[in-house]
Amino acid sequence: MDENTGENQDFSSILDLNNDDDVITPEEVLRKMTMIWQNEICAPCLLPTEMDLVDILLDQIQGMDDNITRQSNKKALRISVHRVELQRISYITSDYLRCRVRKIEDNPHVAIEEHNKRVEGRLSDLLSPQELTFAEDYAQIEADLYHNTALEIVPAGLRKIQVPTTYHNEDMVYAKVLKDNVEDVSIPDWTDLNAEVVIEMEKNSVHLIAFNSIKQLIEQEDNFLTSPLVGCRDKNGETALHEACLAGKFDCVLSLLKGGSAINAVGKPCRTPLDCVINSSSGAPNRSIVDYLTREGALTYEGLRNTASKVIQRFWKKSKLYREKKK
Amino acid sequence: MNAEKCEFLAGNEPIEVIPSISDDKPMHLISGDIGPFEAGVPVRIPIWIALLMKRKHHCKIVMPTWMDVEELKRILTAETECQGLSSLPDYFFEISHMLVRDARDDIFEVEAVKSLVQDIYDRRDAKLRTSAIAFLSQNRTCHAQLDCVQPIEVASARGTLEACKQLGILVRNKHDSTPL
Repeated sequence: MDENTGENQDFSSILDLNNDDDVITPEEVLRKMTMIWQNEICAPCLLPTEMDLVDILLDQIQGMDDNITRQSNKKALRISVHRVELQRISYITSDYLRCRVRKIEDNPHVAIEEHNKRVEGRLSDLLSPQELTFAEDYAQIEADLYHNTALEIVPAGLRKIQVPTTYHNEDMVYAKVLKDNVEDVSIPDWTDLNAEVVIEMEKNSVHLIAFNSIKQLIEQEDNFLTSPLVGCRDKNGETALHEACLAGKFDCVLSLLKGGSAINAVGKPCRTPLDCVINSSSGAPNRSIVDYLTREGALTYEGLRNTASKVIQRFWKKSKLYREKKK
Repeated sequence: MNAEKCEFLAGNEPIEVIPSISDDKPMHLISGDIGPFEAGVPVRIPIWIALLMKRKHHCKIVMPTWMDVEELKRILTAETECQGLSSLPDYFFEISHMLVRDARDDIFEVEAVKSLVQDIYDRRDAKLRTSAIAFLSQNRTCHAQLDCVQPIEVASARGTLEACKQLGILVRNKHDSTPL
């Protein structure tokens, strides 16, 4: 690099600054950021935050911007090239942040919960400090809104609303394998409950696969997602929890519930997981599963319908009374 | 991911240009250095810079080797004969779209190129649609491998499949809420 050419030095000095304390070049950071941005917009759930990279790039943009404003010949080709590049980079970073905020708004509770889980497990943070504050504020505002509009007038016992769990494990995504020697991925075999199919991840192959199977690989940045697809239950709209309950497998039930499986999911055959255990195909129902499920708040299909209608009736009665009192 | 984002990403691919200006100082961009330029000597630069220079009439873009009527005809025949998707250069549709839009005068027989690319797209789109229907109507496997699929095709398939998912939810809700 020629030290004496004033204009060049201006631009390169910022780049050199970064090289001193970090071995990664800005070019590398940008390449990584582009990939992370793609992953984030395609993944069905939040991926661990990469705020560090965003900060590095924002620094770069700031420095470059200062340099450009100092240049005298604003019309020169190199100035407009630099300017367009800055716009491209800020588009990537702001779209990345926008996308994350949208996902947090979808379900702030789940985002906070997942974040805390990762902190406990000593994994990289899911949310940056700012995002965490945002999620908490958003959750609070939402709770206040519910309270002011509806929950105030329902009986105290019903005031707690269960936080919906968004269950992304079965959402499908397109993924492209970018590296050699990626370990094989096993996916559940729909034709046989207890079996798994192993899929080879060859370089440059593109797969349409359940997001859950490759989540780990994405975090190690071996793949990039091209686009998410459909979430699926089985052909009867039943979940894995139903199957586990039918088969009477206590360990599977436990791990599914721990993983956030919906405890009262209902599919086409109109049965909850609890119904599945009680009418288990393998003879007598497994008492320990029944006990565990009831303790966790599972209901039979009949029970589920009764509770729902009772809640609705009570709510209407209550709100009618409330309105009459107001008059 | 939508078509615009695909095109944005395709803008990072390198392409050859013949500059009409000279500049002996290389440009130090965040995404890497480019230049120096010398009038008449071809250099490889990212497409977004090439299009910017093109708009200012600072260069002529050299079309990629596959963007030629004979070559495109060959690709089209291969696509017709091939059962699955045939392999295409990266960001095939995005790049051809950008070039046809912004660098018309550098393309030889631009109308023929345009209709050939359109034909190739239609043929692949038809294949993808049939396979998507086959995939959605079966319940034996939850995995599919589509090796040579292009980003823009994935982006367009997503709308249909997302809609299928929503329809599934609606049907399930109707079933769940119908009194027995």
